[in-house]
Amino acid sequence: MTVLKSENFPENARAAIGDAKLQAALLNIRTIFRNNRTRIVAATPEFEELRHAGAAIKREAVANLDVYLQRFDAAATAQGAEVHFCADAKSARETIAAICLAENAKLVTKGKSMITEEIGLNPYLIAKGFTPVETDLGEYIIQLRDEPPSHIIAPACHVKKEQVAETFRAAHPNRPADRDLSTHDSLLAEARAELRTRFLAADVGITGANMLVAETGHAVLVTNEGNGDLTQTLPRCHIVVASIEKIVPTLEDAATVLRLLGRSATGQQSSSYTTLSVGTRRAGEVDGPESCHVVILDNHRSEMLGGDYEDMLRCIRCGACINHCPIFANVGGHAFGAVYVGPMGSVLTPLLKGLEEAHYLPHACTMCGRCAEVCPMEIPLPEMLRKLRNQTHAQELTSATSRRGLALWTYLAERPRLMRGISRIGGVVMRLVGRRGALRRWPMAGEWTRFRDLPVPQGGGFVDRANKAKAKG
Amino acid sequence: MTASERTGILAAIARTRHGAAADREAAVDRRFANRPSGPRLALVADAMKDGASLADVFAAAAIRSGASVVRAASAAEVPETLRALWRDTGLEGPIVHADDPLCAACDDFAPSHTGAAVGEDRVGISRAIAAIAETGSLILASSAGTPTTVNFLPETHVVLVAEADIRESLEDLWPELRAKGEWPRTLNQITGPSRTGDIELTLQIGVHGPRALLIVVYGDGR
Repeated sequence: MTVLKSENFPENARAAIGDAKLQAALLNIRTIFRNNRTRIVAATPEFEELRHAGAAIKREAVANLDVYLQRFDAAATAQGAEVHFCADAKSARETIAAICLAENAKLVTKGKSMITEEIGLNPYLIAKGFTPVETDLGEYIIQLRDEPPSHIIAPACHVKKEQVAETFRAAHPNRPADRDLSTHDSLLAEARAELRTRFLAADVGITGANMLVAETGHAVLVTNEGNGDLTQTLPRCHIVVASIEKIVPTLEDAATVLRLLGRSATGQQSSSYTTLSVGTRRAGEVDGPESCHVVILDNHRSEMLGGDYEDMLRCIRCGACINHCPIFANVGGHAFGAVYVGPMGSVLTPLLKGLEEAHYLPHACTMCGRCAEVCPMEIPLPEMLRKLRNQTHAQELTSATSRRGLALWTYLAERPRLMRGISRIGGVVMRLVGRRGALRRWPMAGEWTRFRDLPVPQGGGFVDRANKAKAKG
Repeated sequence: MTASERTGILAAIARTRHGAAADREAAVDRRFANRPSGPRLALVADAMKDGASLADVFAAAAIRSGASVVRAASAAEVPETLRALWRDTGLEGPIVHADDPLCAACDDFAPSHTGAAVGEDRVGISRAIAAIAETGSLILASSAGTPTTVNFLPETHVVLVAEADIRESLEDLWPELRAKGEWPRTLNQITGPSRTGDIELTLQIGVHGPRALLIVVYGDGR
């Protein structure tokens, strides 16, 4: 697998823009996801009110997060679950592998879980001798292709159906070589048949959680395929993996968040399956897990509390910011070189993995503000990206040229008379050098002028013009 | 995990939070006591202004989500409704059904059994403990007689629900479920058949869960 890295974002992005297959796939994001959300938000007059309420719920959860986590722990434990708090990715991987070992597991089915991507669970389980199988259709496709997800809710959105067919032919050699895999339906039928045998044979099922309800100990899991339910019901052991900020106080709060989640993610009033589970199978029950574990992961999130990035802990991973981001729409997810992509990823990745590795990501933004407009949790994403940019500048992670340029600009901006003088001279020089009102090239703006001409200033600066206007009366 | 990890995480969070520990515990207790609801949607009430019943609104929403709905006047008519449904939709067994007298009406349609579903079962028949009109969702609870696999393994899922058990929204259901004193292992909110958009964001029905969801809504005979 060639895994792209955040530190190579410019090269990754350039390659993505030149990739015709990827560009065709990304068209779907720009149309389908956006249109679906727009349609349902228009049909929900209460949507703004819901956003305020949803953000307030998560603010309350975060304000008393330690207390809510303890209440969740107590409620889930009382109903047969074992709750494990894990400080970092390593601790979570080891905890999960130890549970699989204790269960004497071989086959481990997985529902879609970004947290398990974040902690790098699959390679670790494979190294320990277990066989993890992704069961969400998109995750299954990219697992077979040995690729990371490119979108948090549509992990295989970069893959065309012809590529899925190739992948299935290679992965399912026992099926007839001349079978038809040209249609969406034939691909779906084959995936259903293949994964059915895994569901029934699995020893352990691992799922994420969209929410943890502190009041009752419930893990709330939202899916459209039903794979999460087969994953958590058929094996003898169910492991829920969730990060600390998945907490909501009560079931009433969960209902509000659900109204926002479906609408923001896929434009649905409600996803097909919303499952509330807590603990182990009850006395007399004939299915459901005999052991149930909840792994609660911190992994740098507690460090985000009380600082500039606490608001990010309200994120419910709906993907709306990603679907509306012009950068994502052009380069796709893999270019970000991270598990979390688009605006929410460009904030989270530096915080989870360090700014050194991810310093380009806060700059992969046009500051258009669409992400903050559509965020159901009112997270000020552009504001946080701007703060991260300041940090990359302060830590000298940006290029020397751009830092010198900014230093020069700051020097001039603090000296308005000098700035006006230089601007006048600059304007004259540009008019002299420019042809037909435009510049083909300009020093230090090579990347900009590579794709477009720089218009030459038509007349003086703002202050000169204002003074002139004033003199005229 | 070690015990110290739990302590460490909780302490790291507490250090950044405002207010005394006792005050924050009290704030959480208040939240659990009051359980404020968020904004409720007007869409159910709006739909009922024209004289539609809650069951009508539920049925319309369920159909929009891709389910099929048939109505029966009373529980007594459910066996006949199921028989007609079986005949008209050309369903084939084996059947797995909840341990419930109404669901057992299917016992003479095809080979059938209760208990957990197995891979060969073609049709699952369940009874919902409630339904939600706002979204057209069914609520199913696991128990000794109502295994969760019945809801997910077979290709076709038939669900019976009484009109009297339909609620406007989830917020109307939570107090009733709390009052029972204990939670089932699994509560399933089911809205339409299994679906995916994972290949080219193209909507497809029936990936892992049921390809078809057939709902029988029955009245109280009045």
